[in-house]
Amino acid sequence: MSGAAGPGPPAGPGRSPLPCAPRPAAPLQLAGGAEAARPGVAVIDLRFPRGAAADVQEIVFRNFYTAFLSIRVQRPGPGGSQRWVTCLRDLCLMPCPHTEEGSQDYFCLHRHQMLCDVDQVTAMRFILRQPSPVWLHFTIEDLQIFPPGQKSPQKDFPSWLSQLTPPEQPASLHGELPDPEKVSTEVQQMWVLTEVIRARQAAARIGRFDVDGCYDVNLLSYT
Amino acid sequence: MAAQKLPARAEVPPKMAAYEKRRAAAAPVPAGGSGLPEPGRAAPGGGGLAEGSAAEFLLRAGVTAMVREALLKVLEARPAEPVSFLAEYFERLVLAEAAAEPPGPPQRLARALWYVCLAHHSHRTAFDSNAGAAYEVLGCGGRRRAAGVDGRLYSELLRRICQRGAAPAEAAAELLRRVRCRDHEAVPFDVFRYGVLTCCVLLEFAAKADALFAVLGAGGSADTRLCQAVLRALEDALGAGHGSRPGRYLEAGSRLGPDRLALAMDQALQERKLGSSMSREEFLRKATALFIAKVKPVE
Repeated sequence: MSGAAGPGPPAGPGRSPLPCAPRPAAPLQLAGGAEAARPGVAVIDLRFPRGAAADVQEIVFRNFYTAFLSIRVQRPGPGGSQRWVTCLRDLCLMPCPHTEEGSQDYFCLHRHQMLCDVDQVTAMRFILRQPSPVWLHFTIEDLQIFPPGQKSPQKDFPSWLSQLTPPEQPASLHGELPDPEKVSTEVQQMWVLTEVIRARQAAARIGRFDVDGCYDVNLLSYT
Repeated sequence: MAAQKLPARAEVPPKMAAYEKRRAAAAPVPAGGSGLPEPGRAAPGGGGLAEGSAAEFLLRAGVTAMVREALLKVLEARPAEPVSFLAEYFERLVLAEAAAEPPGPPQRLARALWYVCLAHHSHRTAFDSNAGAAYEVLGCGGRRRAAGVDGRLYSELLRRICQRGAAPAEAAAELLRRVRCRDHEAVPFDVFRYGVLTCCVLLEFAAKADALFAVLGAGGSADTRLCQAVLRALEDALGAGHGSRPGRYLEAGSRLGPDRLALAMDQALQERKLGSSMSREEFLRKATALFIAKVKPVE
């Protein structure tokens, strides 16, 4: 599989998904088929409110036991008519449909992974397939569509998280430097001990009324 | 599964019965063989030699409960040398039973101190229950009434805990100033537990700082620039991060990682070529000051 799908957080701070209302996954029904039959195909329809068209930059969702995903979008075609085109075909979400791998991962699909342009989209249809009979239900959850022009959440990470190794490496450390591993071990344990005190503070109070050993005369009463 | 389990269960009672029989057969032999009168065994009614008397005796003499309690303490404390731990434990029991009249404050303080030091503070449940026991022991003044713990006893106990370790005297005094109660004040258990805990943690912190100093300096002294760089890193890590807990932990871990510390120490060494040396006492004092600044004062 291409590096198409990667786990990631659903949404970062500083960006907001497009408002949309996906319907719950509807299993495909065969005409005259039994109600209990499980066809292994489900469809999620999604429309943007008030018939508005949207440009799609990124689609983020959490898988729930869907093995393959196809996406069709409704776009303006030639002559002003709306037509359906397939923009993603059978993306593999679970490498082996019978096992857990990938079954509940987050996926993030980018614009450049699509087979066609995804501008001016008025409706989307997610076609979910699960060939394995092991799973009773399958769907995708937390579906969010992001428009272009929003900065990626990676920019908001604090510097210590994005630079786990120090930016500048010294050319050569002094020979007489003490072992940094040992120093780090001891210092970290000292930090932990301080954290213990912070975490287990006393909630009770003595209930003193005096300030610097003196009482406010109004607090004293004859009862 | 259930069908497989059942036979295994059914086997247990016969086994246990056989075990009981063996014990019952073995027990009376030494008792009957030696004609010496045993103080614990001279029970009214002379039922001591009857069948199954061993278990009865253990129950009646309180040995079962006592041994169970001792085992519990060993499990809680997980001492490195269980034999000496148990020896000290039973010695304490003898001392406590020997004192017929209600113990005075010195004895109560000694018992409370012993309770508090039984388990390490990282075993939270054990430590808290031991602190509870110490609180009770301190609080049960004589004359059949619970006097409660006042600030004087509490401060004395904390002072004694601090004396057991290698913490600098100034640090101990400063810590006591933060968590102490006044002599006449009644000390709630929560405050008591917190005070005892901070003292125990201070001792361990001082031991860690001592070990750190040994790493930083080969002999009795270390380069001042190195010490200050490391302490500054610790202070920064302690002051940083007011957000969520996991984020704070990650940030501290990144600040106090080996590569960051190596960089800080290297920079410190390059600042000035001439470096003075810091003594062990001074390092301990500075390090413990960082810790004490984080202790919330009792109010």
